[in-house]
Amino acid sequence: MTVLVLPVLGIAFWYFGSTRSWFNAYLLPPPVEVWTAAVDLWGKGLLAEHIEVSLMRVLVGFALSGSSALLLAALNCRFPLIRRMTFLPLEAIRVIPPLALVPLLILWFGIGEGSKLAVIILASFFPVYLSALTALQTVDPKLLQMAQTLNLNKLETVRFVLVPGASAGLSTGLRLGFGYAWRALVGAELIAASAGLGYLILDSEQLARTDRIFVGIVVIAITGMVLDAIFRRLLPADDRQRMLGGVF
Amino acid sequence: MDMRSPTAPVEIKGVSKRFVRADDNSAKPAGHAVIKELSLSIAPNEIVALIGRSGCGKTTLLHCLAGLVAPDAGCIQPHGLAAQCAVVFQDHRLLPWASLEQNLLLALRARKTLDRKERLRRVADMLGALDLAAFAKTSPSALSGGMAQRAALGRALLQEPALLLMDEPFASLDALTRADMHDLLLALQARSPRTILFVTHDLEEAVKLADRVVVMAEGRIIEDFPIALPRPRDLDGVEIRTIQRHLRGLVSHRGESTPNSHSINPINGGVSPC
Repeated sequence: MTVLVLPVLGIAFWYFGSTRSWFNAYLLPPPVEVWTAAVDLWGKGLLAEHIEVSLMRVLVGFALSGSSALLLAALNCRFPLIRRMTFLPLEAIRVIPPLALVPLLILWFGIGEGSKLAVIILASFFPVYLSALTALQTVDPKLLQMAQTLNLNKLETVRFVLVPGASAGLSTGLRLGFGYAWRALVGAELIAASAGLGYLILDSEQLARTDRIFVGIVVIAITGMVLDAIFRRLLPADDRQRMLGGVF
Repeated sequence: MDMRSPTAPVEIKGVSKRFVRADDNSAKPAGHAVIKELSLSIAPNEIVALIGRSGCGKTTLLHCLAGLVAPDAGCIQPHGLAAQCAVVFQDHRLLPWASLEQNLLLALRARKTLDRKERLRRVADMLGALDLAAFAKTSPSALSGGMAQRAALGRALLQEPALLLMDEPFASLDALTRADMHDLLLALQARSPRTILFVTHDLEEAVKLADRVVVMAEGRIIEDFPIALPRPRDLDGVEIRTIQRHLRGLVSHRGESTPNSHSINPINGGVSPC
């Protein structure tokens, strides 16, 4: 319950402040107005549509970035030569904010889905890649040596030692990456979007509908938290879940 | 039963190892010779203890035999011995995310001819023999040090190795648990004999368990001492104490690491690599 104290207090302050005209209603519309705008958007089916479009973008973008990041981390862990060769280019790309690349991405991929996916991929690739690489590299070498003396083949070593040994780091990386993908949404939807939660916010800004901006922001926050909770449940995080029951 | 007990002795002929890369022996300067033309023969079902000061090459020799480190020169027979070795390390090295049963099943993973039912049966038998049957589904983190090390020994024995290698297997245990482990090892050995080479710093352990004690210094064998005493051995007996004193003298005077004139069996050097 204690986790709800600050949000409830914040909303109460916002509500009472609004009724007593402490805030400029244009800059900070009253919660009732935001709620009404949300109900209105939902009733027209617009909110569901925006959520669906954004979700698809993030899921597709994250599937692409997550899988390529895991693959590259595995390759770089296995082959130090590839790690050394890819180090500088990856570092250079990592420190460039994805938004700085938007003009280029539009030139290369057009204003369709391609450039939006590219922003999401750029934003979420590195957290997954770096966590996965560290997790794979820090699996206890003594356990890997043990696997060797047990005459396990490479596949068995990966399955029984490497992946479970790195699972905590892998799942943290995937969770972080998914968070970054979701956060990059508005940036991605800056690019000539016609639907999506980011588009809803930008469109509302141009129509001076601050209430709808708030709807967009709150929906992004709530959806992001729900997705993170789902993610946490899906990914093995503790020893109990890492027990590979029945697969031995 | 596909018992893989050897009929041929294990022969180590003129094995040398020089560390170029910082590895297990990171304290050594690059290029340091850890083993120098070492030769040793171990008879089938013999228990050999390897003693010597830290850094004298005992563990490296074990790693060479287990195939974890490739020797620079010399040869080890029978051919392909490394794949038939099992290793018990000082730490149990059980997978923390798997149950005890799953950990032991891993030892049978490489035995493709066994079906799952047979594997489970063998693991259950082994856990029973180690008095760990009640802990089959337990995580290794819930076991005491002695129990985990017993499980590690069981895992190695499940491999039915032609040569069982143990690197200070009982060093991290308390004295009572260590004595229990000694008894367990001797009981298992009496029931189903194996060729065993183990490294220890504990001279008492060496003379209690081994048929032969091999003393190493600076990468060479300086003494090969058979202990032809019946078991169980009385550690307070005069003979045992005399042997212990003799061995202690050798280990502590490792500066003079030329083959000792009192050696029963100096077999160091003179063997051409095959």
